[in-house]
Amino acid sequence: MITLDPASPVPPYEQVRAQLADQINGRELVAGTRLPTVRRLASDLGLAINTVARAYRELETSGLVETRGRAGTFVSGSGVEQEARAAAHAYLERIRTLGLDAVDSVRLLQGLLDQKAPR
Amino acid sequence: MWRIVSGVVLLPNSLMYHGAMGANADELDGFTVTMVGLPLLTLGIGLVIAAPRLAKVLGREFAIRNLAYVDVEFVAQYDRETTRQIRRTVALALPLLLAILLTIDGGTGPKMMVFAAVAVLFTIESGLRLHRAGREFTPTPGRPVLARPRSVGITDYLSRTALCCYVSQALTASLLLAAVLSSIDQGGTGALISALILTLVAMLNPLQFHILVNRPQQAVDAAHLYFQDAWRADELRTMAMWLAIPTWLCAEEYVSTTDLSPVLAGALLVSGVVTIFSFFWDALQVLAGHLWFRKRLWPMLAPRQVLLPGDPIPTAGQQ
Repeated sequence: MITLDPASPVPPYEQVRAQLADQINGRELVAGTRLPTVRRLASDLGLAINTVARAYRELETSGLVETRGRAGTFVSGSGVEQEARAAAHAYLERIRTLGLDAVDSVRLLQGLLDQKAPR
Repeated sequence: MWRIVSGVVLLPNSLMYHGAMGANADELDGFTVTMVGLPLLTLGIGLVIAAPRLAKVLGREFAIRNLAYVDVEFVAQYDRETTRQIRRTVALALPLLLAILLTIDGGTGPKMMVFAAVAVLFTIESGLRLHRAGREFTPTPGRPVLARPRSVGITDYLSRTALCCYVSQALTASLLLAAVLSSIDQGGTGALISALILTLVAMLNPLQFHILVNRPQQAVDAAHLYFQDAWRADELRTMAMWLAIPTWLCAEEYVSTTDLSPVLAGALLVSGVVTIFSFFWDALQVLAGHLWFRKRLWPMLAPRQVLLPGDPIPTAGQQ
């Protein structure tokens, strides 16, 4: 579920975006799931249409959802892609816990990939 | 629940009507009609007066049957909506029941028109309810709100059996229209108009469903959203009732009084029986606790779990 807290300092569009992104990355929303229309979600949450539209736009920019014209907005990717995304998400969380920065984490990953690459 | 209440009113009357059909027409005098009509009228007036109290009883029954918690904030609104529905239903049903009784001696056309009028009036009543759909239980502004992250459809609220009822009802109406057109000299204008009306009403159903399902649902917490889902599922099932029974009655009346080809008559009867059977089967499933909307929209809930205000929504791993 998406919960909107009017008293929160986080902007509404970011609350919506972040919660949808978490649910997609956590596979609560699987690939192919149709999201509510912008108008419907805006009505349900009591927000302006442009607020929800911005959240959907940012999700689309980050590749989590795709808009298929009048058919609506869907969670993007195949099951494999979504599982890989979830694994990457978990990896990043773990790296942050260990205190490594982005450069180190990418270097670590690249080193592993180079080791396992077919010769 | 309304299906059971209305079935108690409508079906015995249809059985009574069919029983009267077998009686000698001379025996259906004014005295007999009055003796049947007066109790109906008394019952109707009693229901209108007792509607607020009945609404409370129905509200408790609704909450128990759907495993829903109706927060004290929304009890008054729920009772108000239910009272309104009871009074509208009685106001529409009572004159029609009396008309059914009064046309017992009439021809096929008038009887079918009375049945079709039931479908029309209740379609109008459903339309009036749609006007307020999505705004019955809105929370006060400024409170946290909750929304479902995926879109919902009619198949999330209506079970396969209920959908079968609607589809077979539409098929029955179409077959009835075909039967009337194929034997236009026998049924007359009344039968033709009735068949046209029932077919049009069946075509309106998908539009009404689409409107109801896509109306917004503002909810303050999971319990509130669940309650609104239960309400919406009940509304959609109620719409089925007022179309299934008149359609079946019309089909049966026409087949029993008209000389149709065996194939058409058989198809019409089978379709009508499927309509009524699926309607009652769905009602029995609901009474037995198989809540389709709960299975589709709230699969994360444990069996018999009732969400209370403020309860967090359990994730699949926490069941």
